Amino acid sequence: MFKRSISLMLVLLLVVASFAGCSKPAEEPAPVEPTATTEPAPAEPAVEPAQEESVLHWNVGADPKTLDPGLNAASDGGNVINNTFEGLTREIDGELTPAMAESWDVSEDQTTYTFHIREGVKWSDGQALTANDFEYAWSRVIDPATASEYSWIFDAANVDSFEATDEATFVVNLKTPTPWFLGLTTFYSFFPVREDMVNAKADGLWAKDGSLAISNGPFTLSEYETGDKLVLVKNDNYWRADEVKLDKIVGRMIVEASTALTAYQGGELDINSNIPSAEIPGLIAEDPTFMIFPMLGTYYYSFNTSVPPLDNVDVRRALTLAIDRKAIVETVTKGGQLPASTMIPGAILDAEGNVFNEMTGDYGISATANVEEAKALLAKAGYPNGEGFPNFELLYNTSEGHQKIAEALQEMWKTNLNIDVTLANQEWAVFQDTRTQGNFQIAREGWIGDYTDPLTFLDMFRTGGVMNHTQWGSDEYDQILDDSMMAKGQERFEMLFKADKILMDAAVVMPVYYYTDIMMVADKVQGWELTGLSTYYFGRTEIVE
Amino acid sequence: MSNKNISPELWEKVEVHASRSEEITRKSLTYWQDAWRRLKQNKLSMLGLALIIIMIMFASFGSMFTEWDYSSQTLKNANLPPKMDVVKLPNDVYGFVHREYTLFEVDETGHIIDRLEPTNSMLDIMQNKRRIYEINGEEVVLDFSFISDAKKEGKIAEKGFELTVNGEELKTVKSLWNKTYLFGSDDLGRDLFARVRYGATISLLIALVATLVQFFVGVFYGAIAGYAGGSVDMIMMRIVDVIATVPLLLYVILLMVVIGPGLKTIILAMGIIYWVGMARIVRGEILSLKEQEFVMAAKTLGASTWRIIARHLVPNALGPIIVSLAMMIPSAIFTEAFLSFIGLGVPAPMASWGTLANDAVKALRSYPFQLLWPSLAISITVLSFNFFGDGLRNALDPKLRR
Repeated sequence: MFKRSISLMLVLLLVVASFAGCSKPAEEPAPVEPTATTEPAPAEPAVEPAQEESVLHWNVGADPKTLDPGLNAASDGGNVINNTFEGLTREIDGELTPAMAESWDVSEDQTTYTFHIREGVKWSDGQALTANDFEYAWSRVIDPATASEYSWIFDAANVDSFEATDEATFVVNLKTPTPWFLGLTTFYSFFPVREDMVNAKADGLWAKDGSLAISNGPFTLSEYETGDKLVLVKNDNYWRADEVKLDKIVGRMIVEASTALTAYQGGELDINSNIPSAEIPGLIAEDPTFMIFPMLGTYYYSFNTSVPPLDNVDVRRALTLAIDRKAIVETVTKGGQLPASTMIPGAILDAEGNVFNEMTGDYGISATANVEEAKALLAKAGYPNGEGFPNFELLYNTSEGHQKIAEALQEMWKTNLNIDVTLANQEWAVFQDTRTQGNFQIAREGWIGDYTDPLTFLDMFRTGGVMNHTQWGSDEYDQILDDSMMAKGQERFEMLFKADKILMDAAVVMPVYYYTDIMMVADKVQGWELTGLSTYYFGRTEIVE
Repeated sequence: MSNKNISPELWEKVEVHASRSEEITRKSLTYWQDAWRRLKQNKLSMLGLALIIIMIMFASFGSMFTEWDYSSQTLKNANLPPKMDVVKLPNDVYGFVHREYTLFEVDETGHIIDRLEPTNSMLDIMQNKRRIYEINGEEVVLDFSFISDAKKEGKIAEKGFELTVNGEELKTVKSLWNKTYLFGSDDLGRDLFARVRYGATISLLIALVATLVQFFVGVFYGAIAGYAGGSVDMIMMRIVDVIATVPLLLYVILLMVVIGPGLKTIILAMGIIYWVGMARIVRGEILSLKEQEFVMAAKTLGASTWRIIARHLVPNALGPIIVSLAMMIPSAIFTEAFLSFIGLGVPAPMASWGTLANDAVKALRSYPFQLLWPSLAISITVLSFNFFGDGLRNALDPKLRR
């Protein structure tokens, strides 16, 4: 009897304990959340709606490697930086508008730009922003000690020298007239940074620290939780602060696409571009908030030309020809992408208005696989029917989408060329380092143009270029690019056609498709913008319930 | 007071034979025969055993039921379900509308013939949300604008699509099982049946490795520690403690850095850690067994230590050893599935149940069948090994013996 009552009591205790355990998480969400995204409770009809914070919930995607404008080289970081910092100019509605520079004068020979810094512009801590901040930031990017992955862009922009002649005047001298230079001042590598903050925490970590991340854009970083979220708050010291309607942007870092989609559909996210490819056809058909935009970018793979058998051009070309790009875009990526036969997307035109990649042709790289020629090339390289071909590794950064493409390529090479490939993946930050060190055989790459000119793609592949992971180099190629800097008009494009041909004949890269931007934006988000280089700008965004 | 008068002739005297007083009337059973007899009475564990045998047969001979290899892709046949609702197309062939709103031709037995190519432009497909096909000179229109239109107005659509021939709606005529892909196909158009079968071989291989490692390392390590006793036992068991403290996940990650990801890594990691529990059990058994008289007798007769362990002690501890083996197998299979699920498992294109489940989770909203098969396979296998192990424990337990 006694035993039984004890056991009964124990059971009772357990039940009570389990309820006690439940009560906390069950009760916590019950109070009305302070965020504006949840529907206002009908019980309290508009008590103080004006005081509710206007918050945008946005999926940043992978944890950005850095948020330092001078060090960043990835589009996820670029999206955040474009909202926290501001350059001399800013692209709004597709137009180049004055930003930190109120106006600028261009010399007659088009090589000297004199920017007049807007009067009264401030950093988010209230300190005045001067031309010296630009001089410091630009010098920092090109300083080899900074090890910026984007320092070469100053060469691409033909920047010869720059100087802050006084607090409000910033003079830039170019080596040669460069029509895309002004457009580049909207790009993060040309953004100003504060010297005292940069020195406060090394390796760009200051930009991820809410107390040090002083910025000059419409928003400023207040919180950063690695792998979880970042919070941007409105910068009241921004010169156009009255136009900024959002109080806060919560940038979540949801890498898993299906989780992100669930969060979006559950109303937890307002903007999401991380969408599982399996769901895209369904979403295209069923969800009016799903959007596809063309993008100035190319998805490709780099061959490491320093390791056998990839040091053989026939092998590289055989691998390039043996894949079915049409099947990849239709069945694997599904986001309306176009099969790519060159590095230059179709949006880039030459001086006469012809589509650049139509003028260069497809170099025999068709949308579907050219198995016969690929086999012949492989045989020529000494591997008839793939016999004796060493097993090699295909490296990509961890993501569902990249993995699917890699698996499809693996099978295409297996069936078409009888070559075995191993797949390996690394986290984004690690992957970027591995690629830079050339510690791979074939690596996934993606390049989003920084300005609308073929040079933004071709310039990467100069000998020893930071973004040239292929270890390939050609003096002729470098020379042509150098010469093209001095040339004008169609003559310049003729040179670029030649350079493009050298690059593609060397087959150091394997273009797969031209990117599109896929995203879902909730109806209540109004006035959001995507620049021509596919970067978000939320400075004029508002939440309309 | 009735008269029960039984005549004495009816009575017969039984002769008492000294030899027969010791006779055993029931059939004599060895320990194993008795265990098997009792195992047979346990319905659940017999079911478990049957399922294990079926799973082994499936892994060995399953490939005969499919024409596909586990890695061969047919990209345009991606994400086809195992069961299809079909309509009758104008050319008397069945038509199946895919979840992606594309039209497939299917023959009457359920074999996929081909995906049809729409005749309207990509732009028209995107904008007007319809695909137009030409079949036998007739225009077949697949209109899938309903859900999107309803969403814009904040309503819920009644149907997802409408298939019309010259304005007349085609209705579903019947459901067909997919004969080309018995379990359906995955997002790269690979046969799920072939992949689940391949996953079975990997899981069973893991089960085999776990068993072998436990048996050959765990049992003898434990036996030596238990028999030697003293400081040898102390040192050996502390080594076991050290190995057991580091979680399996850490071993796998560390090994992946050194030898790269793959089946090798998982097997090696399991080899390092899986014998530990067994060593402890066996040591405990041996500690008590070695004090018994038969060991003393063997020692007196001059048997070597090795012989005593191998011929006297281990066979006597076989009951707990086998039970522990049977219980650890499902845990090993599950561990492999788990590691593969979180991306530490077999590399593509190899498929284990864990990677299959992981792949399927991404498409769960649209293609739940892709998750069904691997998870069903994991559940069935793990459950049947557990049932079987449970029955085995009851059968081998001397205290439950009648």
